[in-house]
Amino acid sequence: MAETTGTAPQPGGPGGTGIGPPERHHFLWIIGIWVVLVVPADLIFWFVGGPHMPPGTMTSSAAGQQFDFNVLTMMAIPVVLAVLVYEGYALTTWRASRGGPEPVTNANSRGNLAIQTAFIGVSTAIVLGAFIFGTYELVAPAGAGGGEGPDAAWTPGTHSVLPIQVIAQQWKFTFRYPTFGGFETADLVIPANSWIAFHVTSLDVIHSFWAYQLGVKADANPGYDNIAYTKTTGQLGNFTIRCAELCGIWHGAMFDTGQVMSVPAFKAWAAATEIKLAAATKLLPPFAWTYIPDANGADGGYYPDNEDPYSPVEMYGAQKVTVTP
Amino acid sequence: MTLLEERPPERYEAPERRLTEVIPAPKNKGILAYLTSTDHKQIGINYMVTSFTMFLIAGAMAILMRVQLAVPNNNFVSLTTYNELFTIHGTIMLFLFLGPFAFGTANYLVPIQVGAPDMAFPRFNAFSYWLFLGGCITLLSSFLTSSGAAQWGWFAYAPLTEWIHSPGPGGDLWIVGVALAAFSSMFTGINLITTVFCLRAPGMVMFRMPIFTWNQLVTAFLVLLAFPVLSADLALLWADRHLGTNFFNPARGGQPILWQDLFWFFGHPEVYILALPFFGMATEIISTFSRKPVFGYKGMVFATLSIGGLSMGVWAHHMYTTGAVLLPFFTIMTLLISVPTGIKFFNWIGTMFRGSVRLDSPMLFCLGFLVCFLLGGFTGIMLALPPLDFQLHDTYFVVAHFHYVLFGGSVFAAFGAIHYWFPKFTGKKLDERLAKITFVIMFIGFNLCFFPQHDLGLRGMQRRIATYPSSAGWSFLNMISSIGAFILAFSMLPFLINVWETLRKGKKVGPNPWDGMTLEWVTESPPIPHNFEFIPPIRSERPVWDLNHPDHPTLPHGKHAREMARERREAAMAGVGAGGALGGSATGPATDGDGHVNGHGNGDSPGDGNGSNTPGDGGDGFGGGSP
Ligand code: HEM
Ligand SMILES: [Cu+2]
Ligand SMILES: [Cu+2]
Repeated sequence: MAETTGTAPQPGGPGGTGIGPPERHHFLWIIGIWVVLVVPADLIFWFVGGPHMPPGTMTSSAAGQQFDFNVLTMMAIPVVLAVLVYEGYALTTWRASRGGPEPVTNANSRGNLAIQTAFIGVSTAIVLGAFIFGTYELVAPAGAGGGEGPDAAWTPGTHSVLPIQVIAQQWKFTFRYPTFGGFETADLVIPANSWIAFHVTSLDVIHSFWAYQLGVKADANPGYDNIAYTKTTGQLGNFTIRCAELCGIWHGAMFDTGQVMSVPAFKAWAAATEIKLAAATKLLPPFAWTYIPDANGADGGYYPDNEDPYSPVEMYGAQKVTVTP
Repeated sequence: MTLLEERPPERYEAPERRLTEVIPAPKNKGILAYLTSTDHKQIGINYMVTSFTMFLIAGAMAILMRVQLAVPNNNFVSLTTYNELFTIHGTIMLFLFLGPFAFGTANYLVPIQVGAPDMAFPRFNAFSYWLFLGGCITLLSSFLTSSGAAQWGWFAYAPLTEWIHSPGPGGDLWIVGVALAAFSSMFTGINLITTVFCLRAPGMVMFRMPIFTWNQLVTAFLVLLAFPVLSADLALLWADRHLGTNFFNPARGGQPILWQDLFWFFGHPEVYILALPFFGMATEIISTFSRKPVFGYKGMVFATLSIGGLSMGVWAHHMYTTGAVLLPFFTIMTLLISVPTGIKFFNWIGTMFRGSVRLDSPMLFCLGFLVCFLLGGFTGIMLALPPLDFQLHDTYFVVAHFHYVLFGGSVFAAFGAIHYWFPKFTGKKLDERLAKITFVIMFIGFNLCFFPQHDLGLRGMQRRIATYPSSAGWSFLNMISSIGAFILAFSMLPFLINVWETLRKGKKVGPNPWDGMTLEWVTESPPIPHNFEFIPPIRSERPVWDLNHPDHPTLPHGKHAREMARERREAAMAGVGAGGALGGSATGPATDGDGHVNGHGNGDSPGDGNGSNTPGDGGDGFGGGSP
């Protein structure tokens, strides 16, 4: 700056001359401090915090989300630290009250094309990298546990998949198992080491089916079959189910527990439940991927659509299934 | 000392302009001024005061919510009340506080920054304010109805909003209140655009407008693109509720997801409407308190424009889990927005680079803004990746994210702006000590309140739940968060005391207590009715700086500047022209006798250094003594 403004040297600035070191020294200092902080911070996070981050590894999609979260946090730490280090450096070095330099109006103070272009280039590259990473992480694990609508674009391919229908209504979830006679139960039980397809729909307002440890979240829209895939690992045990979309005053009470069982245990449970509930199943509306909400709105019952060609079911293009045990 | 020849040759020398023909209307005082004024400054103040009052009201609601959530299984408020609280809290904060507050500052400052005597349509402007006030009253009155206020959250997803699920007039009043605010915003947008396009002073070409004005201009365009969509949505919803239509009623073939698309087509531009003006404020403040021009001015402008453009194409990132969204498209669009946002960030910190940084309260708030907005921005990038959004959508992670952006970003910048422009609005400067206390309490409270919410979200706490079981494992973090909220609320106390005391017995400061750079700092504080007796020549985006610091004029940038810099250096070494550079003793043709030039390099400390360039002879000195 001195070279451009003609400022006389002042005491107290960095380097003691008031002119200060040339710009590259500032850069070196800032980058040096930054590297010293970033490397341990990132390593500590990755090895100490990372493995414990939610939602755990109960399914492929949960593990994927945990991995993605850790990767993004690894990226966030350097960025945040860079700005903090820079601000700290700026405040200690260029403070007016510490004899910081006179107003700088040199050729670079209004912009530096090279540096700005470099910044745009680097940040665009990072962003494109994040996009490729995120899209890969979405597509490769068959939609990463998110609702994909009735015509899922990313599926488990040729694997055999267990379909389970999730019916949300104010204020509970129930589950129908179309491959086991279409029985409906309040307990969500799924087998380990299997691909599951959750078909999420609603009978009244919008809800969102969120199986926390499974890494599955899919909105429940009335008249809409929202499919989410996941693959369970060998991990058995309970998982939490919550409603993740405001659905009225008891929204917070749509709080439930599901269970992952071994495959034989699951088969036994499903067969037993099918028999136990057979009488009740007969009274249920025939199985369909979507139902029209009760004409009175939110008072519980639901009606599968059979005739009405203008009904939402037809409009959303859902098909009926013939249920075979 | 600056020789005229050293100035860039292509610069236009604006002739001195005197607005002698303006005959000011009789100036009312007090309540009458409030009721009748069409002066953009009065209307700006009305906006700011009203919206700030709404901020306090919605903040009180937030405290009630935090009391409720402090411990598990709490019964402090009922489930219904809790839903009313977050709905009205969010609605007020977005529609009746942040937006209108930004418009208040725009009203006050944009005409002055472009050198205009008023907004383009003063009465229309007053009309906008009254619509806005009507919206505030309408929305708040919904608490008095039998059904209570709306309970469907600020984005009002259908079909929960259909009459059958949410009967009663409370919801209708929500619709009308929001619609009034929407129309008010659109009218203000029209006014701002016209003002900026048609009323700029000679020499104020677009690329010399302050960044604040640029950002308000882009915001106004976003308002015109987004708010009509919102108004239409509200009309459809009203028709569904009262006229028997079925736009969003799935039982009759309507499509609930249509509401989401329409709403977020408005809603995402809206979040930039709530951010860009505050980015503008931060830009001005950082530049002033670094005593440097904005680094990458044009980059800043293009970044704002591209943020505006891109923000129209990302709405469905709020709908990733619906299954009705082409995920990769909205991912890339959303991530791309972070590039221009990053440019802005880079330019803010670039402005500080080798500046002469003063830590006065406005700058402190802006530093807080930088830190918090960075965090909020980064969690935004995380949420943009679908796999992470599937995990985090509608959890407290999102609540933390948007409070970091809206409160940590916009509200911190707003407080910076209040402290920065207060002397301009009132002629008196807020007490620095109290201001710094406000900042420290606010910063601590804010982070204590909202940082733990990231973790709560990761631990599975969904948003909009009125209570939670103790077995969920969220109790400790919620308690911390509530304590933070109380500290945050407490920070309003020193602030309000400060405002009160300053208004009552604050000392008058001159027109330019901070050594500001843009046109508002050349006129009196508060400005005279038609704003200017005199407008300095406008040769760069900081005309007042050029006027007051003829020895450090704003250089153009690029090759030409480097040549000029070399010439000046050589001249300086030869002992020519070095005289004015030390500051303090500056003399120069442009500043003779008016005392507006002074040095800041010599040990200027944050608290006191500014008095020296605020001579009592203030604005009048300009009329005669300038070139
Ligand atoms: C005093 C500081 C504040 C506190 C303690 C606070 C607290 C809260 C709480 C507890 C919620 C409810 C979360 C839920 O149940 O899902 C909420 C929601 C919200 N807040 Fe704040 N808040 C504050 C300031 C702000 C500000 C300044 C803004 C924006 C300018 C804002 C915007 C919102 C929005 C948009 C919502 C969402 C409402 C909804 O879910 O419909 N808040 N806040
Ligand atoms: Cu629900
Ligand atoms: Cu958005």
